[in-house]
Amino acid sequence: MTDHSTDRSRSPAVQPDHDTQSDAAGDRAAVPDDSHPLLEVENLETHFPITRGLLRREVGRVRAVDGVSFEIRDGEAFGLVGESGSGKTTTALSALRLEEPTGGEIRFDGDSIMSLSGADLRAFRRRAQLVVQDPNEAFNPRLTIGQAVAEPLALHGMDDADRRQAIVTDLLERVGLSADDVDRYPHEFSGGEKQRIAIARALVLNPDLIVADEPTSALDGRVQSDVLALLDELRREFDIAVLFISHDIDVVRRFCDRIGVMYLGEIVEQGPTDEVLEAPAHPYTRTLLGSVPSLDPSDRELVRPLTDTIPDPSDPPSGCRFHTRCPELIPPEDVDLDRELWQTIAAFRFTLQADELPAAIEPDAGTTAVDEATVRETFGLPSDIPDERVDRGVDDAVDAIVRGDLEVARDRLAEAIPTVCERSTPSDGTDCERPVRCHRYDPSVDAEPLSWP
Amino acid sequence: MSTQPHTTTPQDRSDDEEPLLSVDDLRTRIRTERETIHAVDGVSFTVNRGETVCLVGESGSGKSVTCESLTGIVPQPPAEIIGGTVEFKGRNLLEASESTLRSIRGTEIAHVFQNPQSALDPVYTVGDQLVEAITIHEEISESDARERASELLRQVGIPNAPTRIDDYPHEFSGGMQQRVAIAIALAADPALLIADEPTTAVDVTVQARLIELLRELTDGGMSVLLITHDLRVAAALADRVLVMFGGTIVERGPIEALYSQPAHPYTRSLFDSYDGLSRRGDRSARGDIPTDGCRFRDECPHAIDACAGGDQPPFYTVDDRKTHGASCLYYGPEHDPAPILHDDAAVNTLIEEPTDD
Amino acid sequence: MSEPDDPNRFERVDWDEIDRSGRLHTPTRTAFIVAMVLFAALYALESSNVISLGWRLELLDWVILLGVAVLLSLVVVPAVRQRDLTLRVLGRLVSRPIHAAAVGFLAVLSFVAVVGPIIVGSPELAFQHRFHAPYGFTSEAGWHADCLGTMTAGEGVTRYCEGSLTYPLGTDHRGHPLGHLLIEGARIALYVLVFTAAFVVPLAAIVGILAGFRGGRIDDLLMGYVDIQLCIPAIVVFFIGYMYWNVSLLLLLVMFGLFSWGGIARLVRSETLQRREDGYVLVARSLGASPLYIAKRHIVPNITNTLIPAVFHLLALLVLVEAGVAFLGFHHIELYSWGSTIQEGLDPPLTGIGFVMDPHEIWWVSTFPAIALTLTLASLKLVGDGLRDALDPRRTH
Ligand code: SF4
Ligand code: SF4
Repeated sequence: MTDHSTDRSRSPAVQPDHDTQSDAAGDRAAVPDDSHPLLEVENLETHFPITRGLLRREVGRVRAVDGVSFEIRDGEAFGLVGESGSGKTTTALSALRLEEPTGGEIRFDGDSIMSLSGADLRAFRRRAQLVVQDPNEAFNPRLTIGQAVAEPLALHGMDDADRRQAIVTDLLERVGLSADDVDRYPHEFSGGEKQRIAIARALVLNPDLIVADEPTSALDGRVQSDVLALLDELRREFDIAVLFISHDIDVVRRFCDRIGVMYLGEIVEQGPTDEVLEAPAHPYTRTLLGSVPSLDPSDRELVRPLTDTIPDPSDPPSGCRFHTRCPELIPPEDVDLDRELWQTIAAFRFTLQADELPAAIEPDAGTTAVDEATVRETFGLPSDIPDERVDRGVDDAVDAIVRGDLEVARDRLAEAIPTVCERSTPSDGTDCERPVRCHRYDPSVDAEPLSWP
Repeated sequence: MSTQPHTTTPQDRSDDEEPLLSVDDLRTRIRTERETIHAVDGVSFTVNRGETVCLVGESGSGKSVTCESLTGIVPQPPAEIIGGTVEFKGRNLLEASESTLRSIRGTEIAHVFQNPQSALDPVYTVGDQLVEAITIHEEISESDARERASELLRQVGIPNAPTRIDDYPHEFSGGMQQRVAIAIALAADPALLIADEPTTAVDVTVQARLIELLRELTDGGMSVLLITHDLRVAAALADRVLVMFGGTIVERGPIEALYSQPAHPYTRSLFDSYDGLSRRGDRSARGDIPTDGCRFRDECPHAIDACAGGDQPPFYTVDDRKTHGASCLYYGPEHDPAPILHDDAAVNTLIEEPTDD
Repeated sequence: MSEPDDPNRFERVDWDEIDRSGRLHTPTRTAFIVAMVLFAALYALESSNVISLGWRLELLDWVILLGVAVLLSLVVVPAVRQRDLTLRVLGRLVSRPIHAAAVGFLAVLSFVAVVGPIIVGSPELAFQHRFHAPYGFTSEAGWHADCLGTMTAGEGVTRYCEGSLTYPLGTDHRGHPLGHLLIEGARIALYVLVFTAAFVVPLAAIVGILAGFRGGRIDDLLMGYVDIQLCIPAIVVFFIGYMYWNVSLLLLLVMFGLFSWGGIARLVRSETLQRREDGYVLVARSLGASPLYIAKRHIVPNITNTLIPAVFHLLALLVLVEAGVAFLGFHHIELYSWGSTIQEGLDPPLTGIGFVMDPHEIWWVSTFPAIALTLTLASLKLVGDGLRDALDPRRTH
């Protein structure tokens, strides 16, 4: 199966006379055109309406994906990393037009996929394949795996059942199963085996792009790396680009050439995997990496964001979406506090705002009224802050809390410590060799990137 | 590299104190229609007071069945505990009556599972469930129980506990649900918390907070038996580690020793899977795990004839550290472990990874 | 492993050659069209009196024939196309004796219902032979003008007429042989089954799948309608129809059929909602499969666990409803449903002959149809459960 000859394995059966067809998707054996990437996603927006009532009046929108841009070149593995709710899966499904985007543009091989239909759409459906996350529901339990892997062939018009069978058995052997397995049902296989079969099914139409949504997250340990290795080997052998969705840093580190880090529907940072993971620039990337426990047991420190509450994607924070949690939040221009103190104050502000009140100062945490000292101690606030305006704001807020008036405390803090991060939306900054959506990387904003680690 | 000729099994514990839990030669098998699986096949370990012991292994290694066997919550049938002793505070749990076990489960040994939904009843508020957990084991008034319930919610770090106590489980995020599940487990102030993959279903930033919470609990003197497949989670929490494969413990030791020099070929392959892509030649990896001798021998690159048959290899000390032991013949008197230890360098480079702090 | 230039390797497939527009002629569609053409031709011939089939086909018969055509194309053709699977499923179905017995009973019932009336014709009035006891039993001699069996010795009420082989199962008050009545009843039961399976079940499935698959307003609308329908008792509607139109089995089928599918539609919808989220449906969509294809290949086979028992339950229910309505007397007088026969056996004075008799003295009139009805219902239930298990590859026997 090592056919690494000069003849690239893409559709060599396509004869030159086929190239005269105008079918744009059909002639990929034609001159290799490197002028455009395989997949270009530009400003993608996928919003889901929140409706209410019998008439389904729209009362809001979940901005699952909100202005995402990236591109994948031929044969490249691009990873989208993020936590649940970041919009990475919706991005992937939108790229396959399985979710209808509400805005932006997606081009596959230079052509917008939004307007594809007929033969072009069928060609796109052949050339871009999907591997889903949970191997236990990736297969119709009523079909044998032979039928499942052959399904794409049949769906795309290959009527010759013997040929389908031959292709499927060949492919199953190549992913490490045996030809006898075709007549067995999915439940007879382990999770790792099912995921190999899923890869075989994604491969059977000889695609140019595989979208893999957390393909190994249901597997652990060595089975996970085996499946990953298989996918890696096959994509290199057949020069297939992969859009790889994962929440697992270890997995993307091993598999992806480039990654994009997503938070609340946006890509906050993207670049070559090594660079992003070795020297993360965006504060969210840093928080994410810093939350992964080290394999060195003597290093047990974990990074803490300002608050733990992940904002509601139907009502994302203004300005930078990470500002309610960002440990590197930019202080007001005229405020000059040391970093730790500023973090403490910022945490104070956004903890109040997120209503994450710690036990000691809860409104009815007992009969004794909260006193000022308790509030200060709980939030680690010193009694004196070397900036007059901030000091007054914090004093007022603390007083308001003692009175039990949280609303006033919140307003007072918002007013005393405004931040550019809340006011204006960052664009992909230029202070870094790769796009980082943070004001600290924007030369026009008076804030320097902080060092890492 | 010298190895101690094996005389005794390396001691897991400091000898000055009786361990809280000591498990000896535990065996549990699971009968299905087609076959009998030796899910736990002679497992021995101890947990001391205030200590976090971590059982590491892949799915199917028997780590969950081990822990479910301790308090008899493993479903019987199909499972059947066929041998061994589980001594908890001097009582043998395997011989205890069902009612004794029931009172021990909740009050002295509490369980937390991977999926918090399974521990929370969706039709009751978390307050109701906490109050129930408290009053089952304690005769106290409803209002005192509620007071204690919100205290527990605070303890596990749920903001606004007094208001959230009347919320239903679905109104909490996954991480918060797990905190509630932990709060319920803590209701009776247990001496031992058995946590089965408690952070696997949540995101890393949430996992980081749960790890901090579990650390606080052990600082407060509770013992934790943590089950995980994730070496990183174990590194963040464990004092001692037990590595399981095929129903047996294959390596054991203090976390620093074991992580700085994983000894058993299986442990080393686990560490490998965190770095680089798999180098396992056998892709299909189907086939049954042997049920005698070294269970790992079919996949072990160093296997020799002596690895087959009989009991699992005894625990030999690794590198003269008497607390670090590996159940592999290469660490025995007749062999030299050098080929295993020099097999690859990946293991050690991992520890200095710059992105991990 | 195959050679690198083997056309049977996935990377050697020339998709431009293969790709062409989707096929319109599926065997199912073809069968349906052929059946429809035949059906129309038959109807045209029959109604223009060009040919005579020997007996008149009522509207009901036409409807049932149409139902048969639907079932042929929907069930039989796909089953034959996937012979192996069908045989495997059947094999698993009959692997348990109780299920095999149930399948056997339903097969015999259907055979008798189709062939029986052709062989024995419709029952004739023969009052002189009324109330003959089954073979091996006796009835009071005074009831019969003409006792076909031997008379036992004795006087008056102690004289009995023994059952004869002419009427092995006895006769009713009109002298109809019970055997004929059972066959007639079987035919009616089969009509109910065919009608339900061919029209009611597909309707329920289509509505359920549509609502579950499309969601949104369509879902709201369809399920809103189903909710309303579920609130209206079919029997009330049937009685309203009964007041205005001629009473007929068709009326009963239409009324009960149209008002009884809501439950199944709901069930199908909720199952569809779950399946729709499954990975294989997503993968099929990513391959460009049409909703119809996904529904047929991925959704329907995976909801059989709940659908099949529910369908068989509905079949049994409608057979029972028909018998019940007939039992109450709201049936066409010339249709000898099991229900009406049971009723006549249980209420001798109503038959208006003037004999003083207790129901137990003519027990055979009510007992045999009751047994047939019970066996039918039980068999339907058993086959439903058996088929569910047989269709599920995860259940090993
Ligand atoms: S823009 Fe401000 S809040 Fe956003 S990531 Fe950068 S520093 Fe943090
Ligand atoms: S005992 Fe043998 S088979 Fe087992 S790990 Fe050691 S060398 Fe490998």
